[in-house]
Amino acid sequence: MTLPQQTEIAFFGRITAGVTHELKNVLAIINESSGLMQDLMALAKETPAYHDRFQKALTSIRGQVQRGQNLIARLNQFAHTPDISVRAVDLLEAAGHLVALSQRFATLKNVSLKVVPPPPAEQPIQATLNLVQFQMALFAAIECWLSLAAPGNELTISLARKEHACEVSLACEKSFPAGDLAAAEKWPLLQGIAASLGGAAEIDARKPGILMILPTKPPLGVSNE
Amino acid sequence: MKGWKVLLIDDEEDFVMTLAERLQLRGLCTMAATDGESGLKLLPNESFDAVILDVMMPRLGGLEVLERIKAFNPQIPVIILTGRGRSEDGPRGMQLGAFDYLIKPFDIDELTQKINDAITRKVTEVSP
Repeated sequence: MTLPQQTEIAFFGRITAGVTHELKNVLAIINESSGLMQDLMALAKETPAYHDRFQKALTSIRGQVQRGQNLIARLNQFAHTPDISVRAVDLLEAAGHLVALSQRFATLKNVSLKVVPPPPAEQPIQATLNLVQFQMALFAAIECWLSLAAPGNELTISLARKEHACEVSLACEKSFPAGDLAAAEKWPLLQGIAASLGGAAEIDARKPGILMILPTKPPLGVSNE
Repeated sequence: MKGWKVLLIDDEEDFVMTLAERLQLRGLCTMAATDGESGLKLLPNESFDAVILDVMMPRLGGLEVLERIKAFNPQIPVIILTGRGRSEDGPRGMQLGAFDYLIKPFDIDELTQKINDAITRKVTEVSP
């Protein structure tokens, strides 16, 4: 990634992170205002008109505040991604954040995305890499899959540790012809980003699906910043 | 908890006024300020049992206000409110002497519990 590109991404990250802090304040005001309404209803000597409907609406508001809070926390973490270009990354956590933020794209196609957690005893899969590029590669792979997905499909993303490398597998229960995935609009982008990470993306004929193989150490010539 | 006097400092007026009202409904005496300077001016004239302080405020930031509160009276427990994750302002505030911190938006019961813990600990420390 060139310096101007890094600067541009950092710019978007900073602005987005700033906005997430503001959105937290918005949620805090909604939370307190709905809480005050609930307090006042509880203090009322007589049951107010539409009591049950108000309670239901307030419960809904609180649920949406919680939903917004979770999304904003993930978005904030995502916005801080470009702060350090190359770093030690827990790949499963990074994949989990990206998938959570990508759910909307899947929902629009009536399909689902999920990250398969490793067995409890498994150590975190760590790699020293550019987190922005890792998430871009994963998103490009998701977009390739989404471009072919049919309603009701489920994409599962799993990670496995290999010697000096990590395998990121995107598979689904429906078989896609390998040629179709490779013809997806984002396929060249995925391959390009995977290559810049020192790895590769290929059609996984076993599942079928997409297999990314990424080194857990930065390629030569890439230094920590 | 009834009658404890708590100062709230937050630049979001809608937030601080609503929170003040909710704490009053729970028996606390509250005063609210919408910037750090106004909050600090109230300190010498009132005897506050605790301060609830937002970190991200324009002009005088919350952490600087915290330092000035602690310089004025190290015994006043301060609970800071932050919009950021746990790796940033919260722990920094605790290093500067805050009793605890909460990430916005939070549950009112969590805040009242922390106020209770902060003030009862202070009372215990001052009069063993």
